[in-house]
Amino acid sequence: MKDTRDPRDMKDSDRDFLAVQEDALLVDILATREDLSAFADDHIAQVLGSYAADVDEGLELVVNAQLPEAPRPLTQDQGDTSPRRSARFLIAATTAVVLVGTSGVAAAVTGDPLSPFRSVVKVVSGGGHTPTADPGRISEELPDPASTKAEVALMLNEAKQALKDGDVEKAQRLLDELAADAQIGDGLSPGLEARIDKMQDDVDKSAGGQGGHDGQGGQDTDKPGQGDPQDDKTKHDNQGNTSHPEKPGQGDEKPTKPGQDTKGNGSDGGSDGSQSGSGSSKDPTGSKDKDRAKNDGNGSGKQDDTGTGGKPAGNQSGGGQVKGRPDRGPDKPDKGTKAGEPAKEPKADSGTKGQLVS
Amino acid sequence: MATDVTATGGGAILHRTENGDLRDLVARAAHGEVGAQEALLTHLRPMIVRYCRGRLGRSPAADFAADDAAQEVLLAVLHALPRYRDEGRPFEAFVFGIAAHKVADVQRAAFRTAIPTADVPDGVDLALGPEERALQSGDSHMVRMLLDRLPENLRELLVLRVAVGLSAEETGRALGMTPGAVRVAQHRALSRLRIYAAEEVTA
Repeated sequence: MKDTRDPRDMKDSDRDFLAVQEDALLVDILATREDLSAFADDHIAQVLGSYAADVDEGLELVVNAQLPEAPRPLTQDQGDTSPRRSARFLIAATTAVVLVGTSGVAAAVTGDPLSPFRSVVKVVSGGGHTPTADPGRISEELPDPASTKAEVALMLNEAKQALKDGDVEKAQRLLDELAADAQIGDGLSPGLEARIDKMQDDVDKSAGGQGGHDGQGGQDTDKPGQGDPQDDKTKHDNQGNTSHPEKPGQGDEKPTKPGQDTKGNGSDGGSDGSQSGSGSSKDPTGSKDKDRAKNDGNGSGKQDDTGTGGKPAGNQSGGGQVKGRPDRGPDKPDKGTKAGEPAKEPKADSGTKGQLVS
Repeated sequence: MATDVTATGGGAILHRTENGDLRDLVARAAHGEVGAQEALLTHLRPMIVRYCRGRLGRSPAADFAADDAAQEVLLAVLHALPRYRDEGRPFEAFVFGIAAHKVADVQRAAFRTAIPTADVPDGVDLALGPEERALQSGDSHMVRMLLDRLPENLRELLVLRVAVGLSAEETGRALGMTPGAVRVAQHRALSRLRIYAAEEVTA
């Protein structure tokens, strides 16, 4: 809206005031983005209009644009519809089922649910030689079969050497220690067991050979200074009773290992006073040994360990000490029984594995 | 808060907020009231975007720069709110002071940054065609060149009045002037623009 007055009729102040008014009106129109047709002949009004339009272009999109929501935390549950999550669950479930099944089968077969994993643990831990955080605990839980076999072989060699040197007692003691160690006895290979049996037979032979002169077959009494002359008398009285008391110093100081007397349980009942005990540990019934002991009970004191029909029943000894290979089974009673000590209560049916026949 | 939204032919959106309500809104926002802060930023956002566009232009290189600068201004205002104390100076002056510094930062950084290439739009572009855009951009470019020749106070006044769309009273509050002084100053600025434009045509 322009002033229609003639500029020649206006004062300078009036002219300036009108120009200010006119520009104020123009700027108000520009500010409100109204139509500029009233200022069509004003070049600066047109370019300012273009300027304002350029500023406003796309402004609605910018102003009204919704800000994106903050991303959800990564820990938030995304739901169970994810295929990757389902695959993970399936893998975990399958693994758990396989592990439990393997452990169950192993527990049923071997009694040890962890046995399938011991080899894995051994491989992972570097063949069992890698030190772990608690080596003592690991070694306690997982005994090393290799070291066990080596220990058994070493003890057998020592026993063999002792036997070669004539130290039957030492050899027997070593065998007893082997038998006493239940951990060793549980995991032995058949070859080692055979070696132990053979060594036991050799020891028994040696003991029988030494003790056969006096008919008692006890290796203890043949030791110098250990035997009691009275003992010989006692043994020669044809009582056939091996439970007579022995005097101190007869070499009965060795404690009988667990289960030792369950197989070589000396029993009297023989008629000729000879003591023939068969300590076969393989014949569960002991019938063969029993019969053979009876048949061979001629009082000669010779050992009856021919070994026919299975393991040799070479566990005969005098003085009531009947040594067979100790049983390593679960029933290992009579811990406190001394080796070489006569059975205090001879049992009539004690010859399940061997018996003394007098 | 009384907010008047006026839409004109160009699609412009003008927000008008009564001064008293704006002061109360700013006070509540400064005390940390989330709703007040959101309302205040909503009120400021169109003005800030226009200001940045008016100062930085809308060439392909500076289009996003202006919008980004506006966002930076709003963030700066939000961060500065807890430290804002109403000492009689209008809040608009505080906001446009921040905006002026941010625009200056963008102008300095524009010389050192790469120019991103816009993606090809997937839909139909209903905006101005290339010829119209060239003419408009030509006019806008010429206006910015003329504005750059003005003294800073006059340039700021014209940007607030024309680009941002503030009234004489609002511009006066932002620049610490009376509405009458704003009108006289804008008349002086337009007179100089006409002289500069005549010089450009002659040249």
